[in-house]
Amino acid sequence: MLQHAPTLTRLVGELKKLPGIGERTALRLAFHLLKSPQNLGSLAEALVQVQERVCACSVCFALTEQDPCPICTGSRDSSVICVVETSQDMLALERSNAYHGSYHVLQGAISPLHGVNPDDLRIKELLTRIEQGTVEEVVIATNFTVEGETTALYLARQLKPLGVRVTRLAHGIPLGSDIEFVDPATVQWAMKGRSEL
Amino acid sequence: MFVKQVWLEQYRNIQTACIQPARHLTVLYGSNGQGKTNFLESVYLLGNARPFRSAKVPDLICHDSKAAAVRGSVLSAGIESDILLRLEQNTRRVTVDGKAIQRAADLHGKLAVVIFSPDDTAMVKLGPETRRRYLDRSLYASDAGFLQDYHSYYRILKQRNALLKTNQQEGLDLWTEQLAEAGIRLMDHRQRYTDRLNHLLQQKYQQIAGEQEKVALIYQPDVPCPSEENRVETLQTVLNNQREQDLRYKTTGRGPHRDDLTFLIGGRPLKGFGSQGQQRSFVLALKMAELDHLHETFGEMPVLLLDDIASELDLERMKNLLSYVRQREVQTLITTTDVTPFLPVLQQDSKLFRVEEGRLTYEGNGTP
Repeated sequence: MLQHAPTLTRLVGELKKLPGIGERTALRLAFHLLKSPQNLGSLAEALVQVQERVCACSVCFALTEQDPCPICTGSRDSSVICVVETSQDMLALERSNAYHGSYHVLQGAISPLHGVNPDDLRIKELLTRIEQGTVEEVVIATNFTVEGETTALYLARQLKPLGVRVTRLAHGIPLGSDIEFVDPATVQWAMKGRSEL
Repeated sequence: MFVKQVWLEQYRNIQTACIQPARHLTVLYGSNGQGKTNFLESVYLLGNARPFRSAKVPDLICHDSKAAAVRGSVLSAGIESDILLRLEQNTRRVTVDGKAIQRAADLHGKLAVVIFSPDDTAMVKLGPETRRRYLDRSLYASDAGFLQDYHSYYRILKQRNALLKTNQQEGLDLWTEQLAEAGIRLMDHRQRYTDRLNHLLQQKYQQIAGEQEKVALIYQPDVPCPSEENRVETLQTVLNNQREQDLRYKTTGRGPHRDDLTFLIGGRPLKGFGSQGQQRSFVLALKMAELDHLHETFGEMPVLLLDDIASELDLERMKNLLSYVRQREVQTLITTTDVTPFLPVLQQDSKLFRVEEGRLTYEGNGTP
């Protein structure tokens, strides 16, 4: 049947490129969309608009529709920069409501296995921001993976000579959890990083 | 800990089987290639979610079948758990009491297993990677936290090697520093565990071999970092001195990924100076030390799997071993091609199974 509807085949093909979507899910989604022309129209519109309007902020490289983004231009504390790997990480920090400074999105982490070198990240741009002189502290919030830790170490090396305070997010037992259910490796880390009461 | 029931579906050459092993001794006998070891492997799989023989998931699935399942009722700390492993082409899903678990570490402590197979004796003569693999696997069985440090080290190593292959030098120091930090953590685990096993080993060897000969298990780090302080720096210096060579060979030449274990008997290497029998007794004593160590860790005896034990031990040593495990209340599963040497040790509460072309048949307790 599909060979008589090449556009439908194409839609299925495009859907299949998305993460977590295989042939069957792609087909199901395509047929579902066809059943409701209204949804199809608004989805198409959303896709086009996203492509037209969303870009990376020229200051912090977070996704935005205004350049520079509202966080960079707003009343946030610009003396602190929080460095994250992706815009999703930034979203998570924003949801916490615990941080009121500005951000810098690296757009990845150092990983020779994937051919990502420090030059491929937005590190030069971060250094330029700091050289302007208004920044006092950089909070490094890269992931707690081997790649994220190495990126943090690299950043610390680059940033300290510039005379800014460099800090790293703490890690340990998740809030609201019983120690008995936390995996042993995390407990080991929490024990190493214990703090005075 | 013990296994109350094992249920297999389309697993290797076993189409379907539902077995209730005895609390103490279960003997599986049959000719070679009938599925005895496959059954032992499935019990190991229940405890570790990975096979003891190097195998990929598709190898575990019966021919002409798309999926396999291994399910077991396991009793630990007085609580019965239902562990289910579903194996499909390249995935394995593990559920405990109907709830899916994400990490292998969540399975930890449900069922600890010690296995002794002919491959283990070969470890004495084979290359360091076999002994390193043994060390890391048995270490993981008692300390789930080890896995995290193990994975970090090998991930950093992979990244560093990838960087060396690009001929780029920028960032190499960073990976070296990370490697040294993770390396010391890995070495600490290995050192502590080896010391503990070594402490238990001597007594076990005397019980098994009936010899007074002194035996020792020594951890042999590729880069010894003995001093209490600056250990990370020591390792880092060695790695940095190696830099030129690493760049030339495009791989990391030194570090804990080159560690080894040394087995000593009477102060001399077991490999060159121990008889065949001494080598077997040594490895078996090591397994018994492991058993004790897991007992210390979990407060319960793990399950012992003895693969083709008759080919490894003479009758006298085997009797010693079996009376020891009975006295310590260890659930033991044995495979053998010849059932005769086991007939005298079978008791009222033992169970005997005949294995033929993937079918397991219960034959009572084997006593007259």
